[in-house]
Amino acid sequence: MKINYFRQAWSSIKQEPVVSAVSLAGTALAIFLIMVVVMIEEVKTAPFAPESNRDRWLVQKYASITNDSWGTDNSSNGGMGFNLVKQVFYRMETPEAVTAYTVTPSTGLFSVPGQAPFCAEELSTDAGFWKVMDFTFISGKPYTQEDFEAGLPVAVLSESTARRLFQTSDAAGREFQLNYVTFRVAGVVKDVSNLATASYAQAWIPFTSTSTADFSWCDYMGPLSVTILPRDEADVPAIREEYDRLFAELGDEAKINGWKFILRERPYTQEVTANTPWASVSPDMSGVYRRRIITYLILLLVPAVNLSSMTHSRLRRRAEEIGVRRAFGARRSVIMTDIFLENLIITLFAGMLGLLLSLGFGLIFGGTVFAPGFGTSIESTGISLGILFHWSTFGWTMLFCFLLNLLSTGLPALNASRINIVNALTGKR
Amino acid sequence: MKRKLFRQTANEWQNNVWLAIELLIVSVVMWFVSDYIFTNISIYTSPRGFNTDHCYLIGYRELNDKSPDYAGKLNKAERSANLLRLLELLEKRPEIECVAMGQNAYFYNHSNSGNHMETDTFNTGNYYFLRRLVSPDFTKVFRIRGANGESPEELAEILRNNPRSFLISDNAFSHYGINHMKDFIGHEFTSHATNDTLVLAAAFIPARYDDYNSEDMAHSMIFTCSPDDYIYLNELVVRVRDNMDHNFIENLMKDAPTTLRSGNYFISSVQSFDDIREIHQRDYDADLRNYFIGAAFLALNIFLGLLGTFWFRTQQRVPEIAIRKANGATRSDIFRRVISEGELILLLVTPFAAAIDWGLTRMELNTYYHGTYFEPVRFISCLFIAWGLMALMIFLGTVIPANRAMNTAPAKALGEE
Repeated sequence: MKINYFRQAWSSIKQEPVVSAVSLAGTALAIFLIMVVVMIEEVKTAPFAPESNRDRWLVQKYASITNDSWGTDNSSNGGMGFNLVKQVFYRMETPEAVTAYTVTPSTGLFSVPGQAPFCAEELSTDAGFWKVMDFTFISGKPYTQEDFEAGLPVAVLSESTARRLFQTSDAAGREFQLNYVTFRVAGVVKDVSNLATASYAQAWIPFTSTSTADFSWCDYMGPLSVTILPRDEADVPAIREEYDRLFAELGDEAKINGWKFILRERPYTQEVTANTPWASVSPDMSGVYRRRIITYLILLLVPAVNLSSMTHSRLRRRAEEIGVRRAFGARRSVIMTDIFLENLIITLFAGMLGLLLSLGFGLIFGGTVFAPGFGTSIESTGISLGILFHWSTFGWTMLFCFLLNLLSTGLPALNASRINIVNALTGKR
Repeated sequence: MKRKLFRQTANEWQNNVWLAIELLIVSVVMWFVSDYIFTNISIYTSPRGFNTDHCYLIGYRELNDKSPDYAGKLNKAERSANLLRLLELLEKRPEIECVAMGQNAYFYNHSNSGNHMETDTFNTGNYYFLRRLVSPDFTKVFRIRGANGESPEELAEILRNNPRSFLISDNAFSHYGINHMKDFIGHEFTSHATNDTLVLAAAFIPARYDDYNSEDMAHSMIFTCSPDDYIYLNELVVRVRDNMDHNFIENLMKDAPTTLRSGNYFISSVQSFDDIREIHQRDYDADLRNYFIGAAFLALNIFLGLLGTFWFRTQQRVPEIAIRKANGATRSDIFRRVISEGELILLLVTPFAAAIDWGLTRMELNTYYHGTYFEPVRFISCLFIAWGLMALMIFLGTVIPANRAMNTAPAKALGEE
């Protein structure tokens, strides 16, 4: 019986090659576009190295603060100062790890003696960064907590930066100048895609090795963001409780000078972080989901109505066959299921074609399509199949194919199953 | 002929109802997309009020005590003198026209500062102004012009000669129905952000926030500080002479380690405003691009849907077409009939689509522009754009089946029958 579905699907393609080609193209096009939209969302939220823990981490990219003397509706919003990080995040005991790093990479001047300096992006971090992120070291190792606390000028370089400086990636232990300060290479890691928005850079240094940590405004604001890594999902409520308690304690101290923290439901999951770009605006995930559902509905409904019209026409041609089957005792539900499954085979085939097209499109045009909104680079770099394709991507494709098939075949199949046997056999409509 | 067309369309109602539903949905979405694209292109192409061609953002930093070149811990006066000297070194370069500094000031910048202004006759309440703290030549770098015809140079001189003065965008109080600020020139305003009093010296032509935000969203003020306080600013921008952009970044970075250093200050990067603009507007560009792609997708769907349905339909109607031809219908009669069927369905659904579109404007779900969601001219224009696009796709989708029908040989078709 199962083979029959394939035979029937193939025979229906052969009978109506033009209409079948149009149906296949329509389905593939719909799935292609839907999957591009899914990928645009997934690259912002799905885990990939070195951000392999995106699915469980909590992010506080920005903080918000106000002062009694500012009146209502006034606030300062941006990165956090080192003292806030120390008094809240470094005191947390529940998470597996916590890291603080500058909100965005900054451009530094890299050089070795005898070579013209060049600009590259460096991210200032703490030592916890290497526990939260999942970099692949090809030489040396990360800088340690001791290096961080001592403010030693040590660095981890990306493979391409190491090659540019030393013409080799095996550069651990060698020295270079960054902003006219001599740094020692602690390790070299594989290049990172700038779609890894929290961890991307071409070099990483302890923020205690520069004056970064001294920069502060409004007593508690500064250049830092924080990522908290829970051991597992179950830890999150306890982490939020600890977060609230520590912020309340700091709030008591801040109150003396009129400061008041605005928490804006922070820290956020990766998905909320990706959809809350402005520091001064609280998340609106229901709005995000609403817009997403409307987009998917339009992308599904329009081709579904199209395909439905064609399926309806095709089934009218098979009225005699359906009439014979009904005359020999086939139940309506069996007729409906058969039509649905035959079409599902065609839909799945076209859907896979659409998925492959979307992956190809992502790999070729991803540089501009997926480029993160807030960043320093013109184009996305390092886009690979590993970033674009996850099993969830395949799952979404299957789901959308099923929905598209349900929407486009459901009503025609129901109408076909209700066909009057005598009329069908005598060729009347 | 027309009555026959209606009757034939009605006879095929089962199939046509699908087409009508599709055309209705697509018509509404197409109108929404047209409205979005129409307003965004209108904003994009309207005057920006500033100019970033030949402009560059220069990254600068101070050495720390780990550098062998560290000049030691300097006091404010020494740091200030060093920074002013760095500005002077830049200004002396032949390719540089002017140099300015700022704090959350340059255009296409994600970091903003806000302010509330109050004067004895008027209080802006909680209305938020963009606050650009700059050195006077900022107006020269970005070619900001006065609302009363002042040149960028004259605005720079006003700021330089009156450090306690400020400039404001001419539309600053449009929110309150005041379209020009000239009546307020010379008035003292309390600046809540700096907690001091400034005198309004001139109004400038509204400088938009970026290419995608209209001037209504960019009420801003520009004020300055003493050169001694430039050390508290954090942005350094330059304008390069019109024909001297070539290799500007490479040449500047080549000289940066040797000739462009002053005390602890050094230059760490240079970025063109073309790049800054592109990065800042990436999300907006992506949105606009996605709307275009969405519209193309819907148009292609109409094409495929019509092609598939009418291909089928003409196949089924071969004997009927043959009889009509045998009775004297010309090839173009047949062609017109097939094409007209699709266009008729579109014509029939258009009033319903227009009603839904109007409902969307009432619910304020479309794009906000010129202070409203509904402008009759915009509404009707977008309706026509959507309708025209769909009519074109219907024509393209039915032209192949229509051509096929037109070429039906009556004798052969009826012979088979």
